[in-house]
Amino acid sequence: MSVAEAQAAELSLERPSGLWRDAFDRFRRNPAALVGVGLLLVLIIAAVFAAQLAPHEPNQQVGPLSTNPAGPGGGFTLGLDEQGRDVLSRLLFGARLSLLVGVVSVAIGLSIGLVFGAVAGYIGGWVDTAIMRVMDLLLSVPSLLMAIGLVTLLGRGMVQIMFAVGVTTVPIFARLLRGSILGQREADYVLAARSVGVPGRRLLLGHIIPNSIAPVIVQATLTMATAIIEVAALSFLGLGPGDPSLPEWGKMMADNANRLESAAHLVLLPGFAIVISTMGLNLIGDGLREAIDPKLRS
Amino acid sequence: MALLSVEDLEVRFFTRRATIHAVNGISFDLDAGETLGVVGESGCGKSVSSLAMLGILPKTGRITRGEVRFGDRDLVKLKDADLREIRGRDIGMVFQDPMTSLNPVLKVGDQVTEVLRKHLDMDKDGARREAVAVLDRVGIPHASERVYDYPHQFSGGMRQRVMIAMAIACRPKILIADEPTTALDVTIQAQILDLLKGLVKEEGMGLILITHDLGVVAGICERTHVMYAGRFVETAPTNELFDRPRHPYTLGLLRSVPRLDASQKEKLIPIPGAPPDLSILREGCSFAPRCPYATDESRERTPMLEGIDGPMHRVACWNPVPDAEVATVASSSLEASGS
Amino acid sequence: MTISQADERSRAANLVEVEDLKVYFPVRSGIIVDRHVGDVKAVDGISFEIKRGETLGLVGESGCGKTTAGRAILRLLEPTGGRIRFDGDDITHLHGDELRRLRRRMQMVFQDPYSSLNPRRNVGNIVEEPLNVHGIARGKEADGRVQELLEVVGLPRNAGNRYPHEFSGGQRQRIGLARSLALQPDLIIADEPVSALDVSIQAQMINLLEELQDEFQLTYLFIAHDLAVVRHISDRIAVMYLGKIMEVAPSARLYERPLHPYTKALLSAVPIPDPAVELERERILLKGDLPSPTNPPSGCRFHTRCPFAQKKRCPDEVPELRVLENGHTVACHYVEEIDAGRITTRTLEAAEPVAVPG
Repeated sequence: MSVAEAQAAELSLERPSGLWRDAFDRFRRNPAALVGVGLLLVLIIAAVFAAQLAPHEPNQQVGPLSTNPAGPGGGFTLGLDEQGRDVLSRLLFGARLSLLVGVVSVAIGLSIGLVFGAVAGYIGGWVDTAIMRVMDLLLSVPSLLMAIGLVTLLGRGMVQIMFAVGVTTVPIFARLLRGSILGQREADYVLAARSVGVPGRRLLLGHIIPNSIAPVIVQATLTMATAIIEVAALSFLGLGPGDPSLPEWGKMMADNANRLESAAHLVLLPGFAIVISTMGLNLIGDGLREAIDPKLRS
Repeated sequence: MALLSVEDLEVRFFTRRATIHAVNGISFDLDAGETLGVVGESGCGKSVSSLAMLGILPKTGRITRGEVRFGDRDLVKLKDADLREIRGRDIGMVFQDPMTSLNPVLKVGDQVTEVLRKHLDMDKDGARREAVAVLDRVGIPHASERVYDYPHQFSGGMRQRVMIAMAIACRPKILIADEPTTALDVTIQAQILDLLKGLVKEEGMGLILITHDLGVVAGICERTHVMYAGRFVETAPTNELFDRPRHPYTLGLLRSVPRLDASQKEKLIPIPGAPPDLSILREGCSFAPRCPYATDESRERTPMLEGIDGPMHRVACWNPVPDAEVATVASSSLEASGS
Repeated sequence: MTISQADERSRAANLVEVEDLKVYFPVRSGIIVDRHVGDVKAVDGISFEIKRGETLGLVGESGCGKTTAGRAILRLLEPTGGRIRFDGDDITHLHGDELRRLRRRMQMVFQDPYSSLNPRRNVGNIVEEPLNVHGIARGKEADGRVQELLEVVGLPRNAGNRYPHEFSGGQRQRIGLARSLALQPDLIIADEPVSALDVSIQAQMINLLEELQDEFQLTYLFIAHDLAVVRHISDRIAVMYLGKIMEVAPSARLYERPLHPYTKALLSAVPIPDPAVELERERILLKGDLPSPTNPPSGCRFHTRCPFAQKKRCPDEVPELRVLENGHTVACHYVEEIDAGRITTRTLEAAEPVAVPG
């Protein structure tokens, strides 16, 4: 095709030095993605150095108990809550929780999802049909509802919650990897590997999956944002971690929902923290998608 | 006066990393009823130049010099809206891939009708009747029924016929066909080339046929331009070009393709190396690094198209292939045609 | 000489023997339960043999089953019926380790130099993999072998640590060839190995294939749609149409005296880069399009488009491949009559515009 030829002429000159490297170059030039990286860095720094950055312990009472606690400014940068605890410190420690929740639940969902997706996509046949019907079933239940059900069933520990949220993401990854594998399975280079006698497992792990994994990485970033929101939502609904002293952002919002008028900062600040971290992850995810997608396999 | 006259057209692509010199000053005239061939390998700029003439370059591409005179207008200077008027009405275009050039969710009849209504202000019934007539004209059996079918219900060859129908629906003065048969099987290719030949003859259109296939050019074009690295390196009446190719690249191309009628199993003589990187514009002949006849002069000064063996045969080369050498090629083909 | 001895001898001369090979792809429909509603008969009972050291060309238009046939012989597809012998052994239904051992002896070259190399592996890795898989060489020894192979196909010895996308189409095709040669196979099945390349590069690749054949005593099955290329490289040519073989003949003979109407039409449709020849050629234009292989025409598959088709036999009787003189094999009821000019084309009847030379 002529237009494609013109573009190919264009592409051939952009000699990339490696597929990942090239994707990285494109990512680096995407301002939105860089903003995302910035936001995520803020979250990571907050989480890692919470102990050093926070002026106080998250559960330490540093001010008076009050139904009308002090707002930002004054002696405490972001004000106090009704139990006299420093909001900034609680937010910083909350970042730890959120990041942990995001990473762990996605790791759980990803590992289970990848196994199912790889098996379904590679083996095919009735195995594929069986796995994918179950995944469809899981997808048809709203994920928050499913998480609520699982938490009710398993109990309200932090681990249980991460597991519950992780499970809701399994079908997303399973589907994505399966689709991606199906697209690669018939590719000529796979056929070429088969024709030199590469055995099945090596074919899957050494050839097919490395070429199918890019969209999954993108999705993992985006899902991490969803997981953070979901855990916050669970907490907000009163299904959060049983330990009331944990500075979970969703829980902080829920605890103070009725004080929106008198002490808006107690609701808005945790909400803002959630927005920042999920937006950061979403921007990175979109950036990655754009960086990896452009038709490299022409 | 020529129907279309291209003068010193230059097209460049500006990308982040480099400037690509896709077309580096080509000139030619097209007369009514004439079939002009442009041959070259992928990346030589043959497709880009036709996209440029019609103002449909990809967004990184720009015409940086030259003019395209059509009637009393210079297409390069026209506004987009005016160009859109001309495209499809005065100049039709057929692309290589009939699978992606048709809209998959619209009925074939509607797509042809749309062209007619847009450019010729026809009413709905008139346009529909005309659509059936033109589909019939390009050899689609049962055209009056097939207008209600979708593109996927047509085979590749039939889709290419639909594309041709759309391109000629408004009876354009010029048809540009860019690798129109490359995606098709040989028996279907023969049908399509036959159709194009007939159309030129009966409608008096000027046809520009862009292809990489020397055989296609030999069968249909009166004049042929050989393109390499964004320039015409040789241009001549087709007979003359194949009989006495004077540019080493043209000769190289002819020697490197196996011929169905070759007199014996002779070894092919490939052109060594690969086409140049168009992001670097060097002085000198761009074919020099692959050319057995290259001298210091060819590496230093860019040759211009100049008449050789009369004004119709022009070649851009400091050391055209000597006649004696050409004769061996000519005689082998003569021998073959006699068999 | 007894019959079995003659059999033995021809068997020793043949590297590959294909007998009545069938490859069907089931067509399924249904949402919950897949129902088998029909078959695409991609290859429907073909027989031929490939002699040791020769190049057999397999030509035909898209959808004729030539690629499927090649892949079935390589056992990348499971044959539905028939028999494939390789070096005397029946390999039709080999599995597991036996199949893997067979892979060492037959290799494939692909059409698309872009999709046939894993973009995430470097060239050394790609060429080395067959050696690792079969436990032939590892580490330093394998590196040395890779460098040799790269040199053999005309690439720089140090190309190994670069990635496929850094190479041009022609160079990539050489990389694929190096991979195929790594196991020192007896048979190479090349599926359109040059059709994605530019004309000036095509010739380089064709010459390389010919040189390698001499150097390593290779046997080729050369699958392509370009008759000129196939004729150039092949010793014998088999012409396929809709899953059947129509004609097999030594390549010079096939060109000089095509007997099957389809071969005649195919040859006459190939453009020749010579205006003088083009002007004088007689062209047989076929009517219409290729029928669907799901529901191929009854009788002779070509009868719906055949300019010589007769009302008797052609529509309802499948023509067998018959051996005529000089190793010429044809599947047509009326070859003799057509060849003798007793049956002529009915081109004027054709719905398509008739060829007007010039």
